[in-house]
Amino acid sequence: MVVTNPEVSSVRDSDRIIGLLDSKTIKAEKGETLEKHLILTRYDTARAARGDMLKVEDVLEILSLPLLAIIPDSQDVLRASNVGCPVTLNSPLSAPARAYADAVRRLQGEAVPMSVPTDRRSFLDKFFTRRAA
Amino acid sequence: MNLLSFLKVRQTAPQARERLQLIIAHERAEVGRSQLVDLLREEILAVIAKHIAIDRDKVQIRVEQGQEVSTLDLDIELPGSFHQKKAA
Repeated sequence: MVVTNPEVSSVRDSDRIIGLLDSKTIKAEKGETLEKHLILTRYDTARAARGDMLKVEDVLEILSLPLLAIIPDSQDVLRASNVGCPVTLNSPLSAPARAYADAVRRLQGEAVPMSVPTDRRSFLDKFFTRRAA
Repeated sequence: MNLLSFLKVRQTAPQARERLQLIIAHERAEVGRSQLVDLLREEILAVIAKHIAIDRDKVQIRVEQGQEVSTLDLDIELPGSFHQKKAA
């Protein structure tokens, strides 16, 4: 599982790792191929559309791995990390948590259409979560 | 400055894409080259070792890249007995 951000340095590092997976692993040395998946994290659909962030297609074109999931950039991830809890458990209904859940279902062979989950909250939702926090 | 040029300045992703393609192309070439150098070194040493006993620690290999020509420089120290044998 190769996890990368839509940033030059991150994609570069991932390319190196893919190179190592293809040449230095026991499977590679035996002449077998290793099954690889790509997870693109910290993705911001709006910034990518604005031309301010590498698009999914750009990253896929360079790394040429099958895409497993796109995880949206979210404040929930740092919040969960701060308290030492995976975002999938800390805020299971958040957009990144749902994206990870989709990734798991795809790995298990379910045909889940590729999408970037978003946090669509109503005004009232926002109001109450702020008050609660 | 019209609206179009303003948009062009703001868009940084195309630049990121170009930088990335350049870096990746460079690095992939580098990896290929170092593997080739390792392979050449092993094969050349094997050929020489068939005829002369050489000390593997006394082998130096250097690749120099010029603008138009690159050179592969192999420096192999031969044992002292080599010349005598040849002369005999």
